[in-house]
Amino acid sequence: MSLLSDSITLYTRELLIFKANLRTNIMRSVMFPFVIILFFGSIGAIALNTPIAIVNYANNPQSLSLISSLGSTNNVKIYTITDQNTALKLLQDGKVQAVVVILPTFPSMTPNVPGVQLYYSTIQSSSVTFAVQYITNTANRFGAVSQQGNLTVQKQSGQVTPIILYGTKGSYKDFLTAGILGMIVVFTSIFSGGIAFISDRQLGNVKMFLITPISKNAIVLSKVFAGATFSLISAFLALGIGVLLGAKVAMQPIEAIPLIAVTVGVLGAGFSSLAMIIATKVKKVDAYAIFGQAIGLPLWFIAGGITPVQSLPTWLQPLSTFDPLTYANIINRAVVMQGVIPLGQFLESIGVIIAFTLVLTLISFRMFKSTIE
Amino acid sequence: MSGIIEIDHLVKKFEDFTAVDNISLDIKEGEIFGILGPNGAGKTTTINMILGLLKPTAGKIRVNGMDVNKHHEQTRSMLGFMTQETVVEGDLTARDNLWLFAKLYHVPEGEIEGRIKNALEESDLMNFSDKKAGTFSGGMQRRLALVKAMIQRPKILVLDEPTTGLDVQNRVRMWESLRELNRKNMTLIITTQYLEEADFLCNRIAIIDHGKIKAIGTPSELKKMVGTGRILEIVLNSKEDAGNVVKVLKGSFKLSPDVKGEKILCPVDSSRSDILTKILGELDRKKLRVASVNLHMPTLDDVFIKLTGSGLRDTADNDYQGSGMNLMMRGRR
Repeated sequence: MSLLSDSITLYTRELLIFKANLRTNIMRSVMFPFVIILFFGSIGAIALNTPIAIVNYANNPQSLSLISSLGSTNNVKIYTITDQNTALKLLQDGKVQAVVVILPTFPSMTPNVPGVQLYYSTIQSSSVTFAVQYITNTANRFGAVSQQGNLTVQKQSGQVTPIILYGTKGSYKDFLTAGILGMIVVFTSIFSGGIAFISDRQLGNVKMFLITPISKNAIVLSKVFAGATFSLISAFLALGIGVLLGAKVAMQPIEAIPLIAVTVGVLGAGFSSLAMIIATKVKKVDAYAIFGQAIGLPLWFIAGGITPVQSLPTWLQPLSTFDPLTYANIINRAVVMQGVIPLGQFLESIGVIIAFTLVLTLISFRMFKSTIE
Repeated sequence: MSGIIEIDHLVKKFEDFTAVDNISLDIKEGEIFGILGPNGAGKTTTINMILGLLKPTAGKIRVNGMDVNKHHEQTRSMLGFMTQETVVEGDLTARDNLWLFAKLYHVPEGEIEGRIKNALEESDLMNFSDKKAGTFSGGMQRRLALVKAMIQRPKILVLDEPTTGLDVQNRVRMWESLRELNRKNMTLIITTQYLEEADFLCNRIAIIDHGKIKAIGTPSELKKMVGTGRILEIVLNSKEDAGNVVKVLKGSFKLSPDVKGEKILCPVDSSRSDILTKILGELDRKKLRVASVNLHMPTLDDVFIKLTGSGLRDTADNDYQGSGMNLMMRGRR
């Protein structure tokens, strides 16, 4: 029990120090998301020339106009095919990444009759998200009927399974804002946590704690608690910046805030443990900074931080399975972009993050005990 | 007789380097015990082992009869420690600094407020209690560090170079505080590089070098090791003259000089009061030039130089000094 109360004492110290340097701390957590969302968020879809096949059964002026507006940008490269089966074959063979079938009913005026069928694969997909989003948005401009009316995702046997990636309604700014949440957690915990520990050690503070009757684990635990707290603060500041710059959160705040808080808090604790593991091994701040970058940046990229995981090179994609940040992104994206997350998916993702955090905390206990004598 | 700290055949090895080599000593309750030695001699390593920061390779340390490594919870609360690097938390106020350590030493909740108030009064920081410690002057920080080290009311206070870097006023004040604590029956263990400080403060002194105890005793006992008379100290312009000067001292004056580089130390019987002028005359006749000559009562400096030599020590050994972070990463470079 004294482990917990000692940890809380040291945690209070971390909070007092955070408060003493409040302005610097806030500036640090705000600058990065601000710059990234402001500059990259306005680029829009980053996928260009995604090959798609279009089958036009309607052959009316509106359908031709749809095709010409789809082709008016560099987002997709259009192959016109006369027959649906040939087009789907192309999709299955990986020659195109989506098939747009314009039905004779286009532009449909009734909700239950679709005007366009969109087939797409997750197997061959790179940047499919953006193509799908782009096609959906363009198609929705035709016809008076609301979104579902105009567009249907239809199941196709075999390899092609329609899965909505990261929602179809969000903008790239939303996508990026959701991705920034995970990133800021990694950077806050790795940088402020680890560097604070290294300088504590250099100043002799750690030595002073070690000669008191507390358990060594309390020192680690207080850093982990503090990392989780600062991650939460940074993540919500980043979310605020995102919203300020025009991103929209699909989920209602009353659900969104606890979901993001749990995800970010647990993830922050995990990465703070990682920071402690590195910081017990690396004793110089500048060497530590290099380690931190080398670990933080790749984790962020392969987790689908700025582009969907599917758009990564194929050899990199499997790695994202082992990146805890991927699972945080799944939850954050669902919250920000889709506004809903299936319970199973949430439990699976948060489960992975919790397991990651527990394992790393235990490792950091061990490392701290054996290294710091 | 058993002391409040018993060190029994203590050995500490870092890989193949022996920092502490079979040290045994007893520190008695209520005394001020000084540990002297050149840089890298093993002082800090010994202290770190007393504090339980390092595990001995062999040997035992008992504090108040309890093994430091078996009963660390009890022994740690009996020990207060002030480092040479004035550790106060610059971002915290004086009050928060004291609060933090009161909590970490598990001071009963009801007593914390009273002890903080006491400590602030003792350190004369009452008016600065809510200012960040980082804004304090060196002397104020040291005062805060001292009362912080005692917030748990330890029986023994360990001070690693308590006055290094202080101005004269603060140094004198620190000495007064330490004497005052000692009058209240606090046992003090002090390492220092200022020999006059050790002479002034300590009841007993151990001189350590290369991990071994070279001498142990009261300051006057140690001074007697150099001789009962006075010390003649001749500093030469160059080492080459040393042999000739020694020849003169041995031959003409029947003295037993000791050469340490360019310095020649030589005990002189106190009855031979006119010896200085005679020696100078003799050296002048032989055209042997000296940089300075000094005849004085033995000081701890003489003991120190006699026992440890005058060569510089803080070279390679310093890696194992154990101060600050070196301690943490030992053996992992």
